[in-house]
Amino acid sequence: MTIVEKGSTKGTVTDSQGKYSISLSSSQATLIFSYIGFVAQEVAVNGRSIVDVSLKEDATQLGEVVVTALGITKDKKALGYSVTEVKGSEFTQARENNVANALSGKIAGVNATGLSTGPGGSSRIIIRGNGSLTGDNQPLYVINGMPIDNTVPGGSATTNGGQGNVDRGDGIAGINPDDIESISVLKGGTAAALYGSRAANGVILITTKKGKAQRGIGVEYNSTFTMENAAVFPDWQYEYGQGDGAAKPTTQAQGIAWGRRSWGAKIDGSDFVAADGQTHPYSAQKDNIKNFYQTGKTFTNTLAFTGGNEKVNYRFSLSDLDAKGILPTNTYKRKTGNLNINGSFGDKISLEAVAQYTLENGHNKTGAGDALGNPNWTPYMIGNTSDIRWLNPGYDASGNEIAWNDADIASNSYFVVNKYQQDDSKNRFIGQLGLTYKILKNLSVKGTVSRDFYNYNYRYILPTGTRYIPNGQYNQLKTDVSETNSMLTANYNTTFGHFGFSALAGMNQRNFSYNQLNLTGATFTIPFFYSSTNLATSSTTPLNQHTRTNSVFGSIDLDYKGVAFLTATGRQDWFSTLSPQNNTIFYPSVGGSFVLSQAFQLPRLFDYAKVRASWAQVGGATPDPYVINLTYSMIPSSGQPLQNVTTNVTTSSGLANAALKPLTSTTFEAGIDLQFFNKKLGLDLTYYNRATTNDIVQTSTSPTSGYNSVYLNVGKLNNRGIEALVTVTPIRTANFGWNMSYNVAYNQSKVVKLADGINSMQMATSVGNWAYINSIEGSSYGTIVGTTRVRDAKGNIVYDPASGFAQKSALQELGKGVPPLTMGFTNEFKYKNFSLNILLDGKFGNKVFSVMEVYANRMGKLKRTLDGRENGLTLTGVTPTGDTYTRTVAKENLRVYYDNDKNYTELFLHDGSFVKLRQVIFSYNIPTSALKFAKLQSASISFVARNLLTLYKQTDNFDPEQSFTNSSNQGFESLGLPRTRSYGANLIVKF
Amino acid sequence: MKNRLYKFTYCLLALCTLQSCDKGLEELNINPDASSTVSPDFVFTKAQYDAVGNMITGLQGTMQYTTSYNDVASWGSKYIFNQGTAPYTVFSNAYPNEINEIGEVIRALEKDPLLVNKLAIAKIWRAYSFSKITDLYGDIPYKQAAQGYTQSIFKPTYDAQKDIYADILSELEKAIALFDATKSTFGAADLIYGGDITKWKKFAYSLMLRMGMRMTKPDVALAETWVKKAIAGSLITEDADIAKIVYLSSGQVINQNPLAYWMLNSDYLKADGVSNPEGGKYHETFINYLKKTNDPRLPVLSVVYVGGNPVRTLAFRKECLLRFPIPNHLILSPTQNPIRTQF
Repeated sequence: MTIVEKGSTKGTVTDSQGKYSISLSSSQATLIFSYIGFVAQEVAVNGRSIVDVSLKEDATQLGEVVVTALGITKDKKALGYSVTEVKGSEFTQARENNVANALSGKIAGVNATGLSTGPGGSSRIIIRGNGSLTGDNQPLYVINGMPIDNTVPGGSATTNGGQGNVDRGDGIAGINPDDIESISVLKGGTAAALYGSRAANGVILITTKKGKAQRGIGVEYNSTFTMENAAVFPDWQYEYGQGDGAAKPTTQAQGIAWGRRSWGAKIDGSDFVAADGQTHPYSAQKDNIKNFYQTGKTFTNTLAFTGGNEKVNYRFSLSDLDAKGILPTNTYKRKTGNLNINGSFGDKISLEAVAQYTLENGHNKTGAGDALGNPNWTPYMIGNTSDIRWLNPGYDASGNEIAWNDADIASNSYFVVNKYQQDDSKNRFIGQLGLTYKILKNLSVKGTVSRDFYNYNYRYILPTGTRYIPNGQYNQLKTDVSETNSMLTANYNTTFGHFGFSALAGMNQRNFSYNQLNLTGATFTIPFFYSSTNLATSSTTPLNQHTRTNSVFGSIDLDYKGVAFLTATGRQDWFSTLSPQNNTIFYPSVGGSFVLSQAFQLPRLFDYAKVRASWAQVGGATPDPYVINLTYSMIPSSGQPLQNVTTNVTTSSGLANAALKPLTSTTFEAGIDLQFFNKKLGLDLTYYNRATTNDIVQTSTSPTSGYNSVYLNVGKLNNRGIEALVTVTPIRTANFGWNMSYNVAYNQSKVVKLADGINSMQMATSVGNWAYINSIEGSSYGTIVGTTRVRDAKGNIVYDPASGFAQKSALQELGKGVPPLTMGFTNEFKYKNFSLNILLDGKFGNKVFSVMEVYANRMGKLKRTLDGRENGLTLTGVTPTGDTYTRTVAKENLRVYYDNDKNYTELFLHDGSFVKLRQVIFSYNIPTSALKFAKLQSASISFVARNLLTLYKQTDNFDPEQSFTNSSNQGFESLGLPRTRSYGANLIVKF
Repeated sequence: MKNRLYKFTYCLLALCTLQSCDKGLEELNINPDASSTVSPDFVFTKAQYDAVGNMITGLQGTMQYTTSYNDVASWGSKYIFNQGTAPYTVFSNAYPNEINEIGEVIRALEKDPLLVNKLAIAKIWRAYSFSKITDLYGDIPYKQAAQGYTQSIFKPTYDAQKDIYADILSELEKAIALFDATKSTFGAADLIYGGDITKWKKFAYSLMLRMGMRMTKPDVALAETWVKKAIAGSLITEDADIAKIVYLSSGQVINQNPLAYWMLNSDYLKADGVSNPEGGKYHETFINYLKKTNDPRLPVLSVVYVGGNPVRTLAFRKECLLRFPIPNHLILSPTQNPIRTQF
């Protein structure tokens, strides 16, 4: 409880027993007692030395107030849509470096996936399905009411990229969890209407911690140390060892040529010669993953100071995160300074300001995708009788890469971690200033300016001495991104009779600018000297994008006796990315809720019952700038000048289209909120239907049209589903409490229409074009497409007698890339000062295609390749004409036979469903009485673990959550970093 | 009080509409790094580079000229399914590049009667570019090709090869008729003939001859008419008339010989004769064939390295080639093989 002396700067807070002391300026002073969720009380001291008060619960508030659009707090029962709030402490104890990853499993309908790319990596969050056929489909992030940027500088990693295909980290990765008071997730369109087009995919509202009126300076110290280790290991075969043609290597030449092949003789403990030229026992080496990767360590320290009085309060925090990844030499450091000031000048004017500076430094982040420069290749693919450490350090005396296998494109992982260089740094400033002027008691005007700016530098060096590219390559990115919003709003509220009325009107201008220089070059003239000045060839590509959206908006709220609520909003946007004839759209929303339990006398069983429904439209203009007019660009030339038709500035060959108009996303949702048995059982059910029409699609066209794609307003996409949240409190006593919370969501995604004459759109391809991610009319967004072995009506495999291999089918749909069913189950136990929080997280119904397994199959590491090792493999099936077909592949030729399996996508496609023990937090609130000497206000210590166990999965050799890009293209595994288990301790002390 | 609110809201709205909420938006949407007008000369040069450079890379492996001990690079000779895109890239690259570019050049030049010579050359170049694709792939989109922007045709229909040859022939004839020696022409932007009208006529007639010969199977009478027309014109008969682009040996990649650049920057990057990343060397089938036919090019095809240094004696090269070609069953990297293909 906070106690302040009215009209002075004096204040204090109570201790855990509720005791306090305060020195007053006069014995006739008045004290103000306040506590969140309770009605504040003013008590005149009247000369007393002991003043005891007990506050009344604020019936309208307790647990029911949520932060909604524009940072406005609303009574939860007044909302016509679903909002979920998560407290900041959920992110600080068992922390993820990227705070967004910690949302996984916590909120129904929010599909959060942390990438397996090490510290500093991005996250991918999808709320109620992928809403648009283009764009990243991720929600808008908002801090204290103003949007921030969440771009990945230089773009997300691609699904099939080679050297330098790293995850450079997104915007939310730069937010320090310790500065977060709470996170609200607005899932519906109504919730988002006030943020405009970018909110069509939902909004994640972050409210940062603020200062409060108190005596002296409050100090909070939060320290976390976590360790992580690779937690998922492939289930390889260890019966036949390294080698080829059923023979083991006996010379160094063979040891190298067969370095990644496990097609050798039966493992028998005899001698063989490995790639290092040494003789080793021919025995299984099962720990290459453990031996190559190290224990990752993250040490985070945050120190926060708070203070202030009734007029002005502040919070200032400094935070340092120092992480060492599981990949040797990979580090990530993040320093954050955050200042939050709130003040009021007189009765009329109040001010709020936030300034945050973040410095992020990454070193040697992992690559994923193709083989070159991918540090994860060797530990997975090295022959199964070789110990990866025999390849350490991966380079010779002159610094050249040492060969370990027949294909130089498959880099020596030790050479990659020791000699490749990848460094990035991001300086980011977020500033917000809001000024409110109270014209009347119930009419105020607020002006806010916010700017999120970052400057990013990236340098990637493929060094001299790389076997595949001996003279090296160089890539440098300089990216400046800013998101600036200026907003003016007016708020008015009044009551007449039983009606409450409030209105809001506002205007906003958003300016976004992205300026980038991308320098690529090759061949270091002076070997081992890595500067852009030392390149034989180089080229610089500029990318300068500027967009602006102007908006006016308004909102009206009506309530009747606190029983029935109605909200209507409207917004008009003008987009710079579209032509003046088509650049504006108006979109409305309406929502209402009705509290049955207050309107009617319900059976005693019901404590609370509310129904809600809403309908909302959101307009959008997703295309990049400059795609409405055909332009011509110069091509760098050393001879005659060259010019070409400008293809889309970010991707390739997109045809401009001046007729583009804004797209519309329409959401209908209805729900019911019930509480029974003295609030021991709660149920929250939601149905939604979200349709995107006139979607701006970069549709693939036949390249013979002169362009590989064109922007068209043709897409129609539908996402509908149900969300349920069940809360149970089986036990609630003074000393012991047990809360259960289960959330589940099912989203059915359907591509209703692409373009006339086009029913499939390719979004991504795997390495080797072995699988595709397409959006296909009538199917889910992001369907995995590939080939199968042709079978006859009886299920026999059809063989081509000419080649001796199974016939490959045409491309067909093989499964969903995004899980439709997600759920989370939290159990929280409290006993006196102890608490235990256990979160289970599950996703179901998607497929994952594994590029790693394609290689592992070719290299003889998959268990399925054991067939035929002893006496050859006999194939039986039918010919295309229906005759019986049989042939035996000699054991010496198995490698070539199995290698051909890469033509059949189905063999390496697995169910991606899983259930994981996502998080366990065991914490102890240290009684301050025990630490009185230290003058502590509170202290707690927690033991935390993330991703502790996988309880269910269908993939033998990798983790189903093996994503390495936060783009919309999900469904591939491609030799990324192994998933990890982390565990650690967290200490919070408040003085 | 409510009035005040309304007044305020109206003011807000008025402020926005009067100031015009889309003011400045159009100007903001202009790409600072691109031009809204075309420079036909520059695009023409690009179309020349693109049409000439658009070829099947890796052909030496497909055709079994070279092979390797490793699986990926040796798919031509070891009968391993190719996982690359080589067979269709010429087709899919041609249209968004040289075909669309030359179309844009023609669209720009057609507007100005003073530029008929440039227009004629551009039309001849388009005919040549199409002839390359149909020679490779047979029936291809032709009439409706590369009209995505001008006609919004996103899925052009295919035309029969004989109709394409017939149309190319008449296009060539029309283009030749456009030439007017009194008007200006391309200068250095034409990498092949520097805008020389006489030479372009020879090129066009020679292409007419080739297309005419292509027609001998579907329509021998028509073929004869065109071949005679071509011979009656002026054909390429001497070295000075050869259509060729002289590439630069350094500088931007696009200015360098694409075939040589591709090889020298992939498998044959490390010029020491022993190590290539993909292990590509001459294939014994090819070498044995040259040997059998006593082909005089045999020693010219290669570079031989001794101790990392190239040896240029022809007899020595020949001797090495005959001794060290790679048999297709090789699965281990040869430790001794000093030969490197030459470009």
